[in-house]
Amino acid sequence: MLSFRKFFHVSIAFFALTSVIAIKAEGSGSSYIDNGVYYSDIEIPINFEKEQIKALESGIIFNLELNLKIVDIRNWRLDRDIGELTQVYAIEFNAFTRRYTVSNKNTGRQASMAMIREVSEYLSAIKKLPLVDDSLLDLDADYTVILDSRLRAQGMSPWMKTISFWRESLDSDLEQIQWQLFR
Amino acid sequence: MATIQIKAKTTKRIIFSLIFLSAGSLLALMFAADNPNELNRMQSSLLVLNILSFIVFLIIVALSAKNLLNDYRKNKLGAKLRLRMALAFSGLAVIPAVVLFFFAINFMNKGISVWSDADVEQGLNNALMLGRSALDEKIQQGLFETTNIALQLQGIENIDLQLRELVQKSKAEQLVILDSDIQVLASGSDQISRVSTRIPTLLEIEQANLKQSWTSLDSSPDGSYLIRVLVPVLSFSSNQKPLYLQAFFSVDPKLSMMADSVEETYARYGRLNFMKDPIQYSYILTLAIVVLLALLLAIYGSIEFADRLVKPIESLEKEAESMIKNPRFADNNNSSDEITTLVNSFMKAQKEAAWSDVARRMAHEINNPLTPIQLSAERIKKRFSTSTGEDLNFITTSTDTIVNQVEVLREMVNAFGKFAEQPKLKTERINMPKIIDEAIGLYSKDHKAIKFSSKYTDETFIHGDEKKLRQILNNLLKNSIDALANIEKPRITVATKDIQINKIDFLELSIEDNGIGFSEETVSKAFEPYVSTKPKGKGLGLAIVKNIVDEHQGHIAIKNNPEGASVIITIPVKEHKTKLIDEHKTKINYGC
Repeated sequence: MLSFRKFFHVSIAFFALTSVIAIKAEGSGSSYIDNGVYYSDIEIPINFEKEQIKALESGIIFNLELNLKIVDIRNWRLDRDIGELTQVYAIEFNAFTRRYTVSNKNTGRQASMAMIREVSEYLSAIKKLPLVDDSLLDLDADYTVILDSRLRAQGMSPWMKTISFWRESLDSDLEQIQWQLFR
Repeated sequence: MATIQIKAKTTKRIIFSLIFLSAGSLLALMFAADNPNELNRMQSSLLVLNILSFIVFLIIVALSAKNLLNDYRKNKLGAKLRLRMALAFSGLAVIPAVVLFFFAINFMNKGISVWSDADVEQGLNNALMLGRSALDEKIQQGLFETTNIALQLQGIENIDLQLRELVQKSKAEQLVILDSDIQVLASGSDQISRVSTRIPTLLEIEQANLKQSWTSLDSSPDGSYLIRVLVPVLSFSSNQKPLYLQAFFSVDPKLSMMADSVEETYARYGRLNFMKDPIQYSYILTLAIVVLLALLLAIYGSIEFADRLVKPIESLEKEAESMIKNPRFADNNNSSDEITTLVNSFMKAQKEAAWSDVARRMAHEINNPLTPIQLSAERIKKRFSTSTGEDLNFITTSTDTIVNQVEVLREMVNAFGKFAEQPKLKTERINMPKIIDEAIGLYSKDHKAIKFSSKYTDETFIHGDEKKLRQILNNLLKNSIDALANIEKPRITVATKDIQINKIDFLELSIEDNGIGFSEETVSKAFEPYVSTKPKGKGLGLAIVKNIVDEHQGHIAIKNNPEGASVIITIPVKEHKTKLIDEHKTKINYGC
């Protein structure tokens, strides 16, 4: 039978906003040129919350979305966006192999890991991410790379996430990281 | 009126749209119940839609209820009946809806709890374990083969070529040589290999170092499975970084397909289990909103239905009221039921109309032969005036009797005529104490035995017809005087009082005597024509008085006192619209 607690939860759900945990992470990034292409090495310490691990093991797929923006920061004028790159990694757990698979949605490359710690480590250090062709850049300009990262549970509507307010949020936004393109 | 109709039309359109939306939501909920993912997708929009419908409906119902309550407070005709009916119908709708809601929730919870059945979970776990053990042997074979290849690779310089040859000879689909920095140094793959290079992790390299081997079962995006084996390769030189051989072996497609199917089922089960609670709450919430919408619809419907039902009764009452020229206050106002009021009003109207009609016809029919009778009697008297003795006496007495009785009849006919005819009021500002004094003065001269007294303020003005108000006083004083015959210390007191009922000023006129009073039977019929306790009374006095009071939008009541009786008349000081007075009729109620 329906308990008062459940009823209470349902009624509160109306007013609950979609809560997103902002993970404070001291990430860093750096860029370098190799054969006329600028690459970036990114460090974004990602720690999966308990509820997120539980969701993964229950078959929920997570996406780690990295949104990189190259911005020309200009004094006394509006900043100019040079380009934007979105890199998506899908993280899923296979109950049969008992392994986590991380798939880069942009390249199709897959990595398989036995432990969630490995997944965290794998995603926390992204190496040689191609950013922009050297020919598109003005060497006198002051370019900044801005990285916004977020972890999102797939297959669950915002409503479902809202109504699951009593447990830790499955979605998390990571702290924004910025660095100069030219060192 | 046009605006009201447009509003009513718009309201109806809104209501029909809301009903449509609610029905749509119910259907969506029903279909989505078969597919929780579908519900998951459409839940937000469904819910927003329902909440909006609910709010709009709530406003419409609240406004309707407010109007109904306002009508009830103002004692508007039919409001009590409408309120009662609305409450009854709403109550009838609420109880089954609430019962159904709780039963539906109960069944739904039971249905959802099946998703996380312990037996199902155990079965799925066993299927997974069974699948894995079926592949264990393959993994061991792969490990044995990879170790052999690693041994063969020792000391070989053209490693790329060798790898390709070894792939051809072995069952492996792909062979990769990596260093400890996970850099691919060489690879060889089967021409038909579907395997894209999968790089081992540092942890796997560490494990391979520690245990001299690392095996894993990997899934690929196309749903097939691969056995991956990682073994260290003895370095070609001491300066070289440690090397590792990674080999991929494909799993039998049939087995792969079955394993994938089990895994997919397990994952689906896990997802459902994980989302069980939110899905359950969503169902409850949606159902609750739909039930609330249905309840609001039922309440609105009952208010509308009650309105429609009462409307014809209301028009009937209006018709009844229009049958009498002036609206009256109900004499038997002790019943609060609208139907009773309606019936009383209708009966009274019919009775009065019938009496007026009878009086008019009688006056006409009786009056016509009276003159020829009177003239004939006078002619007989004249013709036989020359007679003598007993004949003359007989003729004179008989013709005089005829003439006198014709006069009596004519008076009666005139009285009937006055009752039937209702000339329009000629209202003016009248100082009531003045005309009371004059009326008392008129009667006190001829009835010195009676003690007349009056109680009122010097000047109380009302708007009325002076002639008719004098008639009221004359009729009532005459009645009191008649009631005081053979009474010791007879007295008549005339008093006025200013009263206010619902912010409307009234003058209350009372005429009290210590006479014989009214019989119980008379009290209930006192104002009906032809009802009298006096031997020679025509029974029209009080009926005419009541007519005049009604014409003045007033109220008349009679009551017996411990000694004698009182007639109390309440007349508005200023002229008011009929409806305004009518609304307050229940406030004036004398216990007579």
